[in-house]
Amino acid sequence: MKNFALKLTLIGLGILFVNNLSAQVAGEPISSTSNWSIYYYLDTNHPNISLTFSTPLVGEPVTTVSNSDTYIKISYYIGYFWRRWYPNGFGQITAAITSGSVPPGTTLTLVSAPCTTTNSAGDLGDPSPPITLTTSNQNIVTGIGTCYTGTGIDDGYQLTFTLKPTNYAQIVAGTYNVTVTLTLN
Amino acid sequence: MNILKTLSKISLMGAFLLLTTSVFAQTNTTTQALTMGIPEVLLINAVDSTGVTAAVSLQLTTNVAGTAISGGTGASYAQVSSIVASGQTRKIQASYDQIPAGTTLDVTGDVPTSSNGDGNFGSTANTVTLSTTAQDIFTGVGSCYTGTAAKDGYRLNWKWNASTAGTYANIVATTGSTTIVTLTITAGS
Repeated sequence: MKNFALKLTLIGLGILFVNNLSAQVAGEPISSTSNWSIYYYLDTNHPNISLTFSTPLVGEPVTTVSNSDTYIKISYYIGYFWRRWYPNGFGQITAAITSGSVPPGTTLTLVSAPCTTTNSAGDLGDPSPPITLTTSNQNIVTGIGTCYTGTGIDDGYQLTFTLKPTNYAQIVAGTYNVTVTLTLN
Repeated sequence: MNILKTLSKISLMGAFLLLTTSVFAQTNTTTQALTMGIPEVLLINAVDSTGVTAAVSLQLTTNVAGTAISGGTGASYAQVSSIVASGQTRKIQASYDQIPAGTTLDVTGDVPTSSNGDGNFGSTANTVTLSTTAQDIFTGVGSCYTGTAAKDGYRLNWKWNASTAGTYANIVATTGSTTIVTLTITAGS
């Protein structure tokens, strides 16, 4: 009995040790044979994003401005047994404002494009409809399974941030800084 | 005894699954900074009722013997784009360079109502008799835009008339006399 327990524990620790060797750059494929493990890594290309309304012509409003410079790169691995339980994908990417405030009288929306195909493979999930960013996490991609996006500058899920005037009387000139946190889980 | 052995095996299997069921996420969040800028906007343009920059023609006359000349009325529009700084409002003022002797030029404003515009249009004063000194026509203007189509904007109802009694003798016939009215949007409540 003691030998049996010792063997099981050593096997478990061995798998745990091997699994931890999988740490890597987000976007690369994950090499693992663990049936019970889940690994996930996320990063972006970290662009500087500026959304500034242009001065309109006289009588006209300021108009919507967008930026699509951000690409999310992920690596995701779901062991065999998890895949059995979640055949339609398991992971999701969420977004929320974690510091700062959107300018009054405006809304900041976010939508993800499907993952680029050049250097990616696997179950890359599906983009959600556009969300209006708030301080609560909201899905931007769901149904992610074992996959990788590639690590190139324009590999991954291209995000489009859009700043739109929505309540004109409340708009106030100024500079506003917001931090959006992207989470893969 | 067999039951105890079975329970021990189940416990060990549980421990095994616990060790081998692992969720690793070394970097599963990241942040994206966004800088959003909204410029101050302060634009005004005067147009006629067809939406183009043109003079408004006013004429004083009478067909009834014994009555004073009258009837110099017309309208134009001030089209505006405005975005204010925090806590700021603006006002639209008017003044003229000169008008024919013995006459007065009054203006009454209407704030925009067209669906082509939006925002805080402020309010308007009663009829103002213009002079060479700028006077408030609209006040409390915030962030707004009026639209650019014909009849979009702050409506300016002009009324040119003979002055009140005492200066009628100064009136002389004239054709093509031009008065320039200057409209200014500026900070201030």
